[in-house]
Amino acid sequence: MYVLKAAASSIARNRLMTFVSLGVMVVSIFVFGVFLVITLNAQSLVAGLKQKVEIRAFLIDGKDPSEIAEARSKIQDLQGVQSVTYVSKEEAYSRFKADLSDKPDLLEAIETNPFPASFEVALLPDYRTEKKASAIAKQIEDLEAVEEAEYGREWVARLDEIVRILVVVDITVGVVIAFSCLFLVFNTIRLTVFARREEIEIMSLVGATDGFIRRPFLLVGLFYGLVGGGFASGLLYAVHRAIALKIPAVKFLEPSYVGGLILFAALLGYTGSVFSVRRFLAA
Amino acid sequence: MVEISDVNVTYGNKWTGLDSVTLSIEKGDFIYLVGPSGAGKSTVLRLIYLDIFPSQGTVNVLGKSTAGISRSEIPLIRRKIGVIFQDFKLLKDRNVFDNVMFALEVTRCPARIRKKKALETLTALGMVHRRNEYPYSISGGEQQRVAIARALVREPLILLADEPTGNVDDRSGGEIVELLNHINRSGTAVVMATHKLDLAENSPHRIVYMDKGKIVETRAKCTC
Repeated sequence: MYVLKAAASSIARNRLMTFVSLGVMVVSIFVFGVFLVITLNAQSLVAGLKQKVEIRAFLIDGKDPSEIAEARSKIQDLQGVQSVTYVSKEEAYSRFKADLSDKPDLLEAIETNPFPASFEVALLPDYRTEKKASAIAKQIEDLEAVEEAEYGREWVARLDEIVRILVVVDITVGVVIAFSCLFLVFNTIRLTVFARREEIEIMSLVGATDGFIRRPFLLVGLFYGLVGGGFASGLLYAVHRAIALKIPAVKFLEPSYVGGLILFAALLGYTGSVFSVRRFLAA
Repeated sequence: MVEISDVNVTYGNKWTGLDSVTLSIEKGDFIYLVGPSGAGKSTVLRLIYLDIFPSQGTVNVLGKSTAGISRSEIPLIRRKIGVIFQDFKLLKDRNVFDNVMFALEVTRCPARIRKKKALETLTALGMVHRRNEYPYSISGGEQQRVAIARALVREPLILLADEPTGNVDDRSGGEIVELLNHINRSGTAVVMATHKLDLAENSPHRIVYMDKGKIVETRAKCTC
């Protein structure tokens, strides 16, 4: 009971510091949340694009059906291959014609079917990276019936790079925000501790244990974290709703991520308090 | 109760707080530590309430040697020691009653018992009628009585008083000394540090004269 009363009184007596701490905590966690939302949406976008990563294997003209079936079977057996679809010369040509249906002049200029038969090779999700797609394409190209295999090397590599940058940015932002929050809470609690040094001295004189003296401050740190994290999540949701009105495809964080964000803030608040009080009591 | 044997206290490498001090305090003792500012009186008290530790020598408080004492043991010993100061050290944002209760609050004494004991102690010290007042609205003498009440409410075995009359007028000072005598008669050992030589010499109690961190003379308790 004393712990709750002392924590509440500390917050009430240091209203300005509480306001400042909560404000900075809200801003920091909000910025972190914005990065999380951006990352989540970017990853979702990248994942959608990566679904389209497939290998197109063009066959040498004139191969008989048994050779084509053999090649198909060999491709299907390669590690990382999800499915193989055969596209005949005729089908390729009719697709081309369908694509250019609004330009009949161009079609008239083509007298014979120039398109080779091909395999459309879909990859398993884990294999939709530049490195792995390249390795599979190489194996397909080595087949006797295959003339060439292509998979959009450049844009697959670019997607990989985007994912890599997002992860690095997220980790960097997370670490920077974690340290700035820790520093902020550390200093705020230290000021609160300093403001109450007389009370702490008296508590110590009349036989209060370190834990008894420390607990209200830890609770205040936890309060800064929980309330700051809660407000930041609410603000993040409000901003997301406003953006979603114009861009409905923008996703928000899963509830578990929101919970994690608040817990992260609480942990920062608590840890900041632990350091500041430990330093004061040890002095 | 307290054994201080050949103790040196140094601050940093330069200033010597105490130099070869030996002092024994028994149950029911009343000891005056007298001397000018910087004589080491407060340092002796700080040794007893475990605020500082000797650089050399041994200190034994209530059966516990301070050598190798853990931080967690200190509060338990302090709960048996009352301390009052020249500047009272009352919490300004709490009234008289809450200031006294505060000493029991930190020991997790149940609220009902806290209130009962605080009321009894304030009554005994003649301050119960001022229980709702705040420190800034009562006199220095009354503030010191509240500080004494806060020290006594936990029924300490030793009461340490560091210049308790330093911030009050002579009349209030006399009343405080009389109060400390009364507390001592009920069995609590009292150690009072003061620079007022006449105050000590007009009493029958043991006097320890200090100067520059040393005990320079001791006058035994007068049995007359």
